[in-house]
Amino acid sequence: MTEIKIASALAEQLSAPDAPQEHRIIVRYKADLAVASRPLAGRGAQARQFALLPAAAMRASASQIRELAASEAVERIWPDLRVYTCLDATATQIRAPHVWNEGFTGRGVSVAVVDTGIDPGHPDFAGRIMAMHDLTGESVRDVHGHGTHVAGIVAGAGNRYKGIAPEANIYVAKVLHQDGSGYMSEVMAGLEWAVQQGVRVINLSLGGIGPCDGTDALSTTCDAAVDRGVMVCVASGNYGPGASTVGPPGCARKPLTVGACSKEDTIASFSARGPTSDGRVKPDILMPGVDIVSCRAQGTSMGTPVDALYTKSSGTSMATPHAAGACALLLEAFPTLTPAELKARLMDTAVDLGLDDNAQGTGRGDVYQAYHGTPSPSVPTPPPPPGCLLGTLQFLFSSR
Amino acid sequence: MERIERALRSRFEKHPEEPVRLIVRIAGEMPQAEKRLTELGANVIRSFSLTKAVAVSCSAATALSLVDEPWVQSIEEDRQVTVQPHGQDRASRCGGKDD
Repeated sequence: MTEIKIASALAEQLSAPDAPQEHRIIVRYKADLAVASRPLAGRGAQARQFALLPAAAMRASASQIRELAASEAVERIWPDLRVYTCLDATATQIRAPHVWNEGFTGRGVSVAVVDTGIDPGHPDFAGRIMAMHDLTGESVRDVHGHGTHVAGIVAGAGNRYKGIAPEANIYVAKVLHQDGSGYMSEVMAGLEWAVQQGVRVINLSLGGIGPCDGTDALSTTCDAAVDRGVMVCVASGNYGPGASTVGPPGCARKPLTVGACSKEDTIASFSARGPTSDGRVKPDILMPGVDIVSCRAQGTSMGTPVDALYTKSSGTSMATPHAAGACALLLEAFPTLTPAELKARLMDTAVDLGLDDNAQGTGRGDVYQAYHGTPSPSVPTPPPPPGCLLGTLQFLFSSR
Repeated sequence: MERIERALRSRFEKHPEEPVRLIVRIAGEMPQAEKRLTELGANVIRSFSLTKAVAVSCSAATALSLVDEPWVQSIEEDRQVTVQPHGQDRASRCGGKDD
């Protein structure tokens, strides 16, 4: 009975070989118990009492927690987990907050967003846009909105919506015009600029119509960038669900090609499918790309605006920067990883959703699993609570 | 690898006056190739270093004349690419097979 009162996540903490002496906990008491009668963790313990719930937060040792659990006045004991505001729910879905908790937020890792430009005045990028380059002749300012949204998913540092690598440095190459289109040669020039800047990761949330075999000039340039030691993440494209709908540069051999899934780990039907026209499996992995709330460029109306600073959009464009952000986290943790090693780490640790290889690749990415370098279980784990405020509150109120 | 895709050659032959944008991959030295491209009537827009290539604009007839140049490795259209957002999600339930 005593053990049942201790939430499983806390029980795991208590039995861990490197468990701390003291734990932060939230104790739920019987509803009719007076505050003064609530048992605490030892005499004179400091506790924060709550009014909405018959509960109190405090610090306690493992033995004190077991004593509390033995008390008839106590109904449940949860771990008092660290919380973050998140990029909607998808940062939690790929377990980025777990990597943040390990101390890695992408700090100092340079990521290039090769896209429609950026809103340099957006507060979520303050002080971290290191360089901008316009290849369209329109100025680097994002009048479409796509590039700003993508950059927010990679590295936004908002209070409400946080990107996957919120302390990464941002490099911006504007290669797509205000209508969201451009030529392959402009993208190639943007890639070259990013490589010259010495970035570690390049995000390409763009593409053409498939099928393709990876020998076109843009795909070949992506391969060449990888050969220079730069991790390149490319969108598979939105031309699914038919077979062989991955377009260039999604069919390139060496980059990580990213398809889209929902927050419930269902594949987005628009997510382009492999194989490539020379028979290779694509995409390589899936990342969340449905109803993603991220930064909105001032004066633009892309997606479904949430407010002046944020908008919601779907697409493999939104999935790809989840991967680029994940790469930034991993590169901060393991700076010597090569692009091939990074790609393998993300693919080998993805959560198998049980779909065809040419729909899911190896599965939905899990950056915490990639951080540890151990394979994910084949069945998706439920969204873990430690990451987001939303997740934690759901945990508090549902795990009784 | 063919120097030019059959369908593209056929299109250029049918419409020789059509203005086209190309990416030309170079087998030889870049400066000489750029000079020769200009002599043949192509406008060099940009040259690349990660891959030995140049982006040019010219007529379809000029594009066809490039195919036989020994320093040309391949010719392809400088295709348009677009952002990849706004797919209307028709997410299919997983846990089984994809549609």
